Amino acid sequence: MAYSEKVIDHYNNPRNVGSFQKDAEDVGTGIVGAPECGDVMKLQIKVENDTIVDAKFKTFGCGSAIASSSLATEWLKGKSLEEAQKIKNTDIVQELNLPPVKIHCSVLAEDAIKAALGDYQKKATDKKSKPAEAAASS
Amino acid sequence: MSRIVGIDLGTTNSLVAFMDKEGPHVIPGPDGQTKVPSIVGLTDNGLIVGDPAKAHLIRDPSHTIYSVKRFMGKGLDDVKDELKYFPYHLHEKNGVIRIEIGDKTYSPPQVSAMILKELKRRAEDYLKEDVSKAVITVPAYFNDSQRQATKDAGLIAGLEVLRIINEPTAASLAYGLQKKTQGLIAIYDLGGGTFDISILKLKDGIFEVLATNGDSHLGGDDFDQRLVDVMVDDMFQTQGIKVEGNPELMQTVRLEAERVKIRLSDETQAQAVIQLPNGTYEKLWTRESVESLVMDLVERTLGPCRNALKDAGLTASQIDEVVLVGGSTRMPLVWRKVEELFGKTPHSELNPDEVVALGAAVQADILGGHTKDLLLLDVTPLSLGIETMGGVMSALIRRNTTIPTSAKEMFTTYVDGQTSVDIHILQGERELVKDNRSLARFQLKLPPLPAGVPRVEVNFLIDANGILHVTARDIRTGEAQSVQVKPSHGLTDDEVEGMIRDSFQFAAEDIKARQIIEARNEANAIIVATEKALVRAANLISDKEAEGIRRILQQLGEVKAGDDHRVIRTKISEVEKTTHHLAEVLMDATLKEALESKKLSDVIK
Amino acid sequence: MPEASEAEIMEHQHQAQATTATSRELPMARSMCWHCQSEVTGEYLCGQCVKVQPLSRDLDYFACFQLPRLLNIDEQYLEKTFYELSRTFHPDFYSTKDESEKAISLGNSAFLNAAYRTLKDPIQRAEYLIRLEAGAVKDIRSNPPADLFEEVLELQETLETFRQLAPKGPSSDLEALRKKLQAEREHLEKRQAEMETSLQHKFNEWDQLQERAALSGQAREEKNTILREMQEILSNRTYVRNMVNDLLETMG
Ligand SMILES: Nc1ncnc2c1ncn2[C@@H]1O[C@H](COP(=O)(O)OP(=O)(O)OP(=O)(O)O)[C@@H](O)[C@H]1O
Ligand code: FES
Ligand SMILES: [Mg+2]
Repeated sequence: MAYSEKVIDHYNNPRNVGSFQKDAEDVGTGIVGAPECGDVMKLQIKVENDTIVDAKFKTFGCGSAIASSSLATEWLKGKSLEEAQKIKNTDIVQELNLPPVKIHCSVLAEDAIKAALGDYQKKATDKKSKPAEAAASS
Repeated sequence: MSRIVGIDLGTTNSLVAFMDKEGPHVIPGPDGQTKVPSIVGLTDNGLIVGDPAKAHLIRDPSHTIYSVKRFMGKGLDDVKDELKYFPYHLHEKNGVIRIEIGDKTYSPPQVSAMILKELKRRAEDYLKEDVSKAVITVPAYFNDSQRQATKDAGLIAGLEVLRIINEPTAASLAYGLQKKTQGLIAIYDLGGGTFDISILKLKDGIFEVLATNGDSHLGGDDFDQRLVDVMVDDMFQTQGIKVEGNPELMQTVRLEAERVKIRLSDETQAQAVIQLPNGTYEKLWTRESVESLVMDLVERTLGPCRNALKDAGLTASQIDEVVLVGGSTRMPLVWRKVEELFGKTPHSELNPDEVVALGAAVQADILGGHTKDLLLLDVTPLSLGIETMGGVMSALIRRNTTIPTSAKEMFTTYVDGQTSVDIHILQGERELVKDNRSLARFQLKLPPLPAGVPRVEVNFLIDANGILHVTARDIRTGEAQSVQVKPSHGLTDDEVEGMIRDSFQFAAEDIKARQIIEARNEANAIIVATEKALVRAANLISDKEAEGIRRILQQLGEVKAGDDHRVIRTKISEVEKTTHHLAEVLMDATLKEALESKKLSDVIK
Repeated sequence: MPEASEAEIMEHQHQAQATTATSRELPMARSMCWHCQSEVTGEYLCGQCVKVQPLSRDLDYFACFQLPRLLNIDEQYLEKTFYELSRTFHPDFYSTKDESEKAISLGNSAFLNAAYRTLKDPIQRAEYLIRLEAGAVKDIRSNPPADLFEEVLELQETLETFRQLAPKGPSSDLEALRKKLQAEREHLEKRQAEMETSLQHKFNEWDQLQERAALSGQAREEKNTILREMQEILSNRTYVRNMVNDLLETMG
């Protein structure tokens, strides 16, 4: 089965490499690692009205992990928070055609999405419960 | 059970050995030499191998193949840098190099098979029995394709290859057996075309390889090449002679370069002398000048040594003994560098040319079930993996894993009804597929089911020869599935079978060439002996008789150049008849001499 | 989907209780000789026809070496047993035998080699034990070390700057960076050593618990705690080791 050009491109020219301001209110950050290999991935989302308007990542690890995060950030853009929750590592595995030994790399990407969403939600609830404080510190 | 021989199939020299109750022995040829130059010549009368082919190399280079081991298991792209040095045309078919000689085409395993056949015959003549089973050595750093090609060569030569074993490990067997060594040893093997380093632990008859490394394309041939380059350039600058494009001259220069190099291992300077159509070319070489010319090549061996130590989890000082193997380790420069690295004087008591063949014979004896107390535990030199998306290799079996070893991978589908997955197998240490060696590809068949349901387990097994076997099993049904692996740089089974058939067919032609060589050798021996006899018998026979003998000797001299062995044989028997009286006279004289030199009492008693 | 090695372990896992670590013989695949059908009770070679028997698919590495599931291992014993079993199973001794025996010898040897490789290395040994005891690593996944991740990201960024600066030749910026990375490396190497010490403590704890548990029955909860702690050290160690390797690679 031939690999599609689009997919190969995620390896050669990963999209959305970079960072957002970590403590910005509209940013959710997930930093995760794969204990199997010691690779680390940071994935960030920027949210407006419960919709992900932008996503960036930095991955220090294998090519499959980089491609997985590149693909994941592409997918995240434009999705609602709820839709984003539904992205599974198996979707990534399928799209990138990862072999068994590389499955954990896609798991890393899924973990990173979950962590970024969690971080954003935590910020949002904290803000709601302590509006005065948040306002004071900003 | 028939005897199993051990064969060192070298880049420049090959040897065959066997083992009996006293231990391993290298089998000499009729001339007492144990080394057979790995050279094959194609004459009008068929094939010649070894020393006669070496002589042929200068006369007819485009019909003479040397260093064929460098081509084993390779494609044209792998050797493109050195194409210009070889006097024959190469092309590629199905990923395998083909050598064009006259109107014939040979794959490297076929040429190696010719050398193997010569060794087989040599063993049969010596042992006076059929030889059909062998252990053949390969450089430890040979990849799967190169090993497979060697095995194919054995098959084509009519040998059942019971085991492919690594050259340095074989050397360690011979060394350990003889020296009763225990502990950690490093075998540094620098031959004509390859370099290997192996670190072993020897304990209670177990030879455990801890790590191996090397360069399957580095050896004495490359040293020679450096000298050749200098001289070729020099000849052009000083005398305007173009060596390139003149294969005969190129081979002459190459052989002279090797001679000078070898000379400089014992002496501090040596003169290169090359006969030219009009005059000679001479160059004085000093040991220093050659050493500085090849310094970087020798230093290139040190990196692999360090890597091997690192993989074995050892430091140089922990090594108890360093053993030198291979002709190129006779160079003082190599000695010094090895000594520097390991901080101890290397051993070279065993003949570095023969120790690998001796070890192969020991291994043959183990396989034959005779030697029971020794066991070799070897490793795979290179990591094995499969291609993953984006051109990245992911490793399944790490280098320096003890063999046999296996790795299982489960494959499934991501699309409903998908019926196959393409798998590309690689060997090497680099991250990207393109920097590693492609071994083979195959298509794994899957049952047409919803995505994720099929589960096929593929087992990658590296056997004790270091050769890969792939099998697959459908986990749901438990059924084994056949896997058709297509080698990237190897002959298919069909091709090998065809070559085995061809080799039988050509055998008749080759016998002719062989008979001529044998007749010629015999003629030469008779000429030399008779000339000597004539000198000794100068006062014992008449001038007329001597004259007659000289005349017939001259006739033999002329006849032996021809290529009908029967004519040579007839002449030989004529000479024998003519010299009958001469022989008698000499015999008498010798007897008399013997008696005269003794006291009468000694004789009577 | 599990990785190959995990799949293998899961296959082995269900017999965890079945194999008594102290049994003196290895479990074979069948209780009957595949060749002559006579009964075999754990011998490698059939008593009747002397054919080699395939090792049980359920055999785990510890049991293969007739070792209890302890983490401190007598290395000499391990080596000695490896050599002994190699003499029994290695294909070299089966080259004159029939195809079935050859295949069994090949399979048994490959398994034995994997077992030795895994048990010889303390880290692999611990990882293997964790998987064996817990089924799959994921079940026992520890808390992600957030601060360590931050450290990795920061270090990687510094390394990237260094890699960009280095080809431009010496400069005071580069020197400063080199110093910083040097210090970082020393610090990380020290941490690695500390981790190894605490891992050794866990090894001892585990072994003591195992010995007690052998007398007083299962102590699942306690065991899991130790396994989890060990897993945490192991995975943190992987991150630290990666950082050290990257540092070494970049700075030579
Ligand atoms: N005294 C010497 N000094 C330097 N080099 C030598 C000497 N004697 C032999 N050689 C070189 O050693 C090489 C041959 O060594 P050897 O016979 O061990 O190689 P081989 O077994 O044929 O090759 P390989 O093991 O690489 O396949 C040739 O390059 C030859 O020139
Ligand atoms: S190998 Fe570590 S994430 Fe892929
Ligand atoms: Mg050799």
